[in-house]
Amino acid sequence: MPCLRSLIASVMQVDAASLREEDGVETMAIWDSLRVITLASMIEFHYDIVLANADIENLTSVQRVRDVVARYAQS
Amino acid sequence: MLNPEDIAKEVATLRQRLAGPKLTLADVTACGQAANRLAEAAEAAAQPVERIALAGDTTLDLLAQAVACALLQEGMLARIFVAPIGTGTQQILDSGSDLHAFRPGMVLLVPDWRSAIAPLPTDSMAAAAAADAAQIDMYRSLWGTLTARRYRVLQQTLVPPPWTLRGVADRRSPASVVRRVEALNEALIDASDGQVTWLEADRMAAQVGLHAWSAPRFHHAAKLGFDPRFLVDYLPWFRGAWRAATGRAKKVLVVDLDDTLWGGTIGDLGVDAVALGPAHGAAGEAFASWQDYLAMLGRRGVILAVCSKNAPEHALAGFDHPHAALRRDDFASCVCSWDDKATGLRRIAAELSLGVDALVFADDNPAETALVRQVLPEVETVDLGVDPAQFVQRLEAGHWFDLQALTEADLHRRAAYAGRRLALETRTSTADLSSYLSGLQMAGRLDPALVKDLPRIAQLELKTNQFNLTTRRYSQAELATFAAREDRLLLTFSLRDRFANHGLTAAIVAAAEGDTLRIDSWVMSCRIFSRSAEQFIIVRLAELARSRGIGTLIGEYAPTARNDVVADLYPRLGFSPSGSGGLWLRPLDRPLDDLACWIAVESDPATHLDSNG
Repeated sequence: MPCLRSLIASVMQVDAASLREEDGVETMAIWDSLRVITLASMIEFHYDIVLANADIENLTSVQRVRDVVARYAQS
Repeated sequence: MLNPEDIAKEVATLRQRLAGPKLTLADVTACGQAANRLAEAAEAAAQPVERIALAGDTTLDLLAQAVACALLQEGMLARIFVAPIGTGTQQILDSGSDLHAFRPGMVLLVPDWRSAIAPLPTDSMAAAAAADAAQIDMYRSLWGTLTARRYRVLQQTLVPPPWTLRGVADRRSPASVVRRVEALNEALIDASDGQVTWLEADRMAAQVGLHAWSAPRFHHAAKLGFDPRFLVDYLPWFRGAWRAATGRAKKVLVVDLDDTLWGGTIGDLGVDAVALGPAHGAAGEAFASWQDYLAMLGRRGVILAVCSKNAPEHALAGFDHPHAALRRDDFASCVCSWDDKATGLRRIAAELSLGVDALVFADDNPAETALVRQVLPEVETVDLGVDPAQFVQRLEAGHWFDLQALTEADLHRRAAYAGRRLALETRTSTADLSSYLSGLQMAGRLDPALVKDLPRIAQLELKTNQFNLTTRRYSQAELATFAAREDRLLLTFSLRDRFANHGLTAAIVAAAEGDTLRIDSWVMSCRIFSRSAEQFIIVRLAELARSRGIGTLIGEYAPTARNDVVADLYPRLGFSPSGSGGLWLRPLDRPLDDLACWIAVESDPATHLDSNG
């Protein structure tokens, strides 16, 4: 299973090593709504989870993506 | 700005990534965006680029990336226009719209059941029929507008919602959404009458699972029609529909023998010990089932061939196995030798008078398919793997032989090729060409096209690359228009010989213009090359022209990369060049006895050769 950082980087088409935890919709123009949907779909596929709509809308930064996935891992 | 060499290198890199064994959604989105950038650069460098417009009821931006990837896999770059969600009808009907300004060569319509199926009172058949009729009228109007501009039209079938409301009761309720989606799909396919190439989104969704496909959360979040993870699955479906729409559907399935049609090596085991049939357990059952499937493909017009590294006497004995569903006669060509598979495939293509790009090669040995991909990249390959129970799924995954409609020609192709093979065997034992052609006892007819001939003529127009003088690619709708015009002749040529009835194998569209009859389109099946059919057609056409008081035949040749076989056709038929522009003429005030022909006129209309062969 790819790490979360690699997954985000592959969707946002950036180098994984360059991604900071605070990077997201505020710092990257490429982080748009369609890429969020694509990211949501890939997270669901790789982590075998189904994200609620509210959580899809929360995928706005690397840190927030990590928080959302962690919450599903715990439940 | 990228130069053509840079573009080609980047395209090759993307195609390599898209050829990987485990494509991901990230691959599709990344390659799709890169492909769009390259298509813009290619167009700026005056390179040929497809132009495709997408219009529908859902967000199509991700689908556009998948379409770009699918076309890259087909070796094409594409500029893609996406109509804003829900504006497709307006964009198509408004001649000044951005869609028309984009000048697409093809339009993909992506309807959604939420827009197509209006809620109705339970079990109101009349209201359901009226609502569906309104949808059909609307689409007829859209198709007519698009085809009048010579845009090719692709359309996805409606995918039903994943819920069922009341279970079996809804299956029995004519006004239920599920029943109406099914009925509307069938009605639209019928109504499209050759104008539209269909992409079976409903079948695709059923294969991956309707609940997984529909993923309502993505529709709520971004008006997506399906879970974007299935964009990877979408690629082969789109490619199959695109190939059907552009005349690139594959024609020949070439299979290996050992561990492909039966389990084991027949040269070592002998015919009785290979795994085929119930006595050999699950594997034997699976191979028998696979042979049944291939036999059905053959009966539906896919040309079957064998390419095997084997001694012929051992290899072909497998067809005598009591559980073999396939016999030698089911195969139009059998190449059994110790040559490499690429050499064998070239021989098969030459024997069948087809290009290698018409072939799909299926083998259990990945080393063999890898060699073919390297040496003959035009041949599509299928790695069957080691489990025969998966062979059907692995072959079907490529949608290589998907057809929009079966014609009589498809249903009789196997017999026609068997007859052709017998005729060619006769040729090798005949001293000279004249004796060989006489011995075939050929009879033919050149007749005005009937309505039932139109699908077959449209098939020939779309798929014929070699004997195609002007490559006009007339659609079925356009051919129907010609058939109704006084100043147009739409003619069909049918042929039989003592081995087979080859059926409708050539078609002509001719335009009566004053004292001349211009051959606007002339297509002929490669199966009947070198039989003097061209001479027969010109002699009969001249008779028709004279009966209408016409004094000159005009032929036109427009060269393409594939039709150089007919570059000298008109000079061979006694035509003289007429200025520039590829025109040739033959006055009809002189006899045509220079055109030697070995085909008698089939005189009895009752034996008019139907659209078969």
